[in-house]
Amino acid sequence: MNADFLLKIDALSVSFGGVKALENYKLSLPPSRILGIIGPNGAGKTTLFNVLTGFIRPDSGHIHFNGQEITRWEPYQIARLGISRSFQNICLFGKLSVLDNVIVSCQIHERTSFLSALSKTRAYKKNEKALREKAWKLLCVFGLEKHADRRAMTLAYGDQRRLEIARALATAPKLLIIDEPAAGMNPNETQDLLDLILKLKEKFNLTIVLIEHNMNLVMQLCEYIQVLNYGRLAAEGLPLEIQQNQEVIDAYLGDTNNAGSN
Amino acid sequence: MNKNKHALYLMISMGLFFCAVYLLDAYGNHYYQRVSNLMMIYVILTVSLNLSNGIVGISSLGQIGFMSIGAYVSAILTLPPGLKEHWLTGLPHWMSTIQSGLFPAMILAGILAAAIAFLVGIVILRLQGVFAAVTTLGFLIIVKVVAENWMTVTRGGRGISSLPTYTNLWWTSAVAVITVYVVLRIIRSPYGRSMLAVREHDLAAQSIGINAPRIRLLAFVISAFFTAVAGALWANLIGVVSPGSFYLWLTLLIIIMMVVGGMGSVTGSVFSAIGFTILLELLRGFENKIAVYGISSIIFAIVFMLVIIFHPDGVMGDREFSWDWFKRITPLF
Repeated sequence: MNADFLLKIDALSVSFGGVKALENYKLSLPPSRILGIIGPNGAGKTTLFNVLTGFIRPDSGHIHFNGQEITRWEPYQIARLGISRSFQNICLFGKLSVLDNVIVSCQIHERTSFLSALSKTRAYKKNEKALREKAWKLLCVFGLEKHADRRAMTLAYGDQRRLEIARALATAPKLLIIDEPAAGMNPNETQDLLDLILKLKEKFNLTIVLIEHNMNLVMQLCEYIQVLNYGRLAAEGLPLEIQQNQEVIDAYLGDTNNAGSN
Repeated sequence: MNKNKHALYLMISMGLFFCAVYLLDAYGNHYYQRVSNLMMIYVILTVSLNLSNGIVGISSLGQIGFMSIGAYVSAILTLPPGLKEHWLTGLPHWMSTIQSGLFPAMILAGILAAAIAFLVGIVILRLQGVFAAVTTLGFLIIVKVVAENWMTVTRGGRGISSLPTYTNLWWTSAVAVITVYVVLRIIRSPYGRSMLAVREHDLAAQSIGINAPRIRLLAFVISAFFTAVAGALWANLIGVVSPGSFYLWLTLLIIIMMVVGGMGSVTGSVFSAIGFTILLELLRGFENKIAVYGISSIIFAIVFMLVIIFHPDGVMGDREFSWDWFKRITPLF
């Protein structure tokens, strides 16, 4: 396939019963970009993420990632190929420690034999130690190392969000998909998040797709924006173009001139 | 430093444990030997149930079905050839002429049950929660019905008796220790972390590259293996296998032991199995003394309910035993 694009989606359609959640969706995403996907609730944004990561099978269409067709792959296969995600509603391994949440994700590319685990061979112990160190370093990037031994479910909300991104990054992905990272965050936390995402993008050479309702964040962060409405691509373009697109303003952004007047 | 200390404590307690096994095996009376053997078998059953139900979160009610399979396989293998030809006419000729020892019977029982768990698991483990509970219960019923009706191989409801009683305390305690060791090692390995992740959040686990159905199947198969080995030990301890022995009572018993010990805690399961075995025996003596029969089951149920009300996660939750606990009691450690 076309090697210029990390992710290429053609004519993707998904329906639930009679409802068309996504219709004829297209995307060509070059590497090292940040793409924002916006749109009203129920527009099909999260459905798109679920199709991309293999949790929902599309009715038709093709998804190519890194030159490989991944359209009907299982979620774990897609994760191993290099697409990682965070969830809209936080889905941590609540009873596991913060560190274990990341370690279990770090081990994605490891192939430990069962017997070496039972007999604790030297290579096995070395490997385990390396995993721990890798996970620890990642926690430090997120400033979560002081909570390493706590159960994930006892963390504060913002920390849980960050831990989710840390866990997603631990699989060493090429493409990171973030679903509403700023939901429920105050302006300060949102600003920190913005800085963090930019830092991660540089540090791990990521391509990022994110869904977000916070327009401030989207407009500052994203290099390219797609607008979904009723499962269809309503508009796409640079942030400035989107802000001035009449259709998008009508469907989603709202007209600032008329705000409050009716 | 601390680690070495803990290894020392572990060696000392293992040494004491096997000294106790030696003394009981050599000098103990028949009753204590029997109770200790059952205790060890319950430990194996509870710990392996915990692997599938507590660690990876399969709601299986069918594990005792695997115990039944293990017990029957071992019974058929270890029954003296004379009786075999007489009773089990459905066996192929070469099988009715051999008599196996306990060890090969145990291993074969485990492997066969694991193979069946693999096939059954592929189908059942697509389901979760209540649905898995109902289908695994169905599996248990199927096993019982087969054992009741496959007259030429299982002798139906009459069961297979006159089995050589090979099982002694050395076998049961060694297998129990191995089971605990293996399950603990699995939990602390990458496999175990994946299992816990699958239990905590299936979808999130898949999103970080864990093949959740495969991990569940792995735990189910290993659990079935050890459960069947326990069945083999049981058959050659009691000397009789019959379909009714491996049914709802045992199923409930080991589920209660697991829940009270703490789902997800291996050492909790060990302590709980030991505690409940002793409790059951004490209650039985008490029942005989006051001649109010059935009172032991009532007390047993009350103990279970009290634990669930006041300690819903079980006595140990999902923590494991640690030597550091003694530090609080005495500065000696």
